[in-house]
Amino acid sequence: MAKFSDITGRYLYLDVDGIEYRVYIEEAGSGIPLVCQHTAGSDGRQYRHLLEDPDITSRFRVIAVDLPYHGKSLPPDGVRFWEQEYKLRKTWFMAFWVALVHALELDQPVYMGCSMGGHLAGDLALNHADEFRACIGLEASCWSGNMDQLIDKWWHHPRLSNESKPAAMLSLCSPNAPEARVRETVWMYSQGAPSVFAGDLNYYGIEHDLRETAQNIDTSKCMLYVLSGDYDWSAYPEAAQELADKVPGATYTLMEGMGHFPMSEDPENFKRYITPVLDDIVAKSAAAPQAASGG
Amino acid sequence: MATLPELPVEEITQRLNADPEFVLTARFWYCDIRFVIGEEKYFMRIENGKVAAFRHGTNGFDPYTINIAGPAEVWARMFEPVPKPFYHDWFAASFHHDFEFGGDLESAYAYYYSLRRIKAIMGEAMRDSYPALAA
Repeated sequence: MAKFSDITGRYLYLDVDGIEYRVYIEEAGSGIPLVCQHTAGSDGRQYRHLLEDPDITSRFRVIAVDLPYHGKSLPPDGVRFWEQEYKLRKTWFMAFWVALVHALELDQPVYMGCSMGGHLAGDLALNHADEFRACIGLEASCWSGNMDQLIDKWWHHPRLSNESKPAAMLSLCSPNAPEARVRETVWMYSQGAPSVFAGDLNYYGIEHDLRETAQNIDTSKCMLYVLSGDYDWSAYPEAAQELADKVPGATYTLMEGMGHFPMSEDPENFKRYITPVLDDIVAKSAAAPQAASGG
Repeated sequence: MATLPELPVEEITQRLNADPEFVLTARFWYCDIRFVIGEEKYFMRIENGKVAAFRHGTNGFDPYTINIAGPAEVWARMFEPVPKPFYHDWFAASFHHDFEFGGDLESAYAYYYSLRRIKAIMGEAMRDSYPALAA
């Protein structure tokens, strides 16, 4: 008898700013919708462990996407992408997620993202608080600047192969994480289109900046949870803590012994840290019935 | 000022040239790397993906394209079996500790898998040669 995963994958045709994208999404479970955004230059496979964990999927409808240009989500028809530099823009990134939530008719989902996805947790909580009941920022911070030269030159260079990025991503992983999971995490980086990682960092390292506005996030409308691993040299613990400290009501969790890709490099330990956050969301949702039915 | 025992350069050379991941990822690599541990300098020459020479000390005019340098205290922390945060990697140490990882970034990025193996093998060889470091 064939052994299948409980994950269902399919394509969603999604209009964002007048362009139709064919977006690959994977989902599993039922309950409160939990939408998941991968890191820069990677794809939704980073959440495969969460998608196959019955302790999570028994309470949450987990949905992981491949952002356009990533994974199985091809660049859109009608865009001459080979003639222009790929750059992820903050306004488009937020519009994409709002459009996806509306298209799937999700009722105030929980948003969770890591790295660039983690940064987006703060941006969505600030700008689209009515759309999400909570935002979870993994490896998130107010700002990740001062990397313009790396982005412009060294993260997308004709003389550097697709082995450069995954090798560098090893530096962000924890030595405590299982080797197989770490190697799987960086393998996904080797499969990204060469220009995409650098293009994503346009959002991560340049456009994302909550240094002056994080305090305006209203956690009574949209709770913000920030978590970070102590081996992450990019969104390092002090930077993540700073974001949470600036947002009244936000929480910060230090994930000890963890790196920049907690959900994929060390899913077992990640579960220890994310479960209390999800429990809190379930409890708050039960106390606020209008947001508890899921979608 | 802390000191570290001398790097077992022959042992490191043999281990790297027999290491499956290093052999696979260092293909076509030609590079001179300078390691500075406190006051001590070491020079490694990579030729066509193999460690062709690794020696302690300087002739005064040693060429290098990648420079990896820091105080002995930082190196000692990097050689621990499970290094603490930001002692676990050259990049990480350069961003968060008194440590330098520089030179020709193109070579460094292209061969970062290999450079990671050099760090790992250095640590293993040091702990095996000087068991006190593994305690």
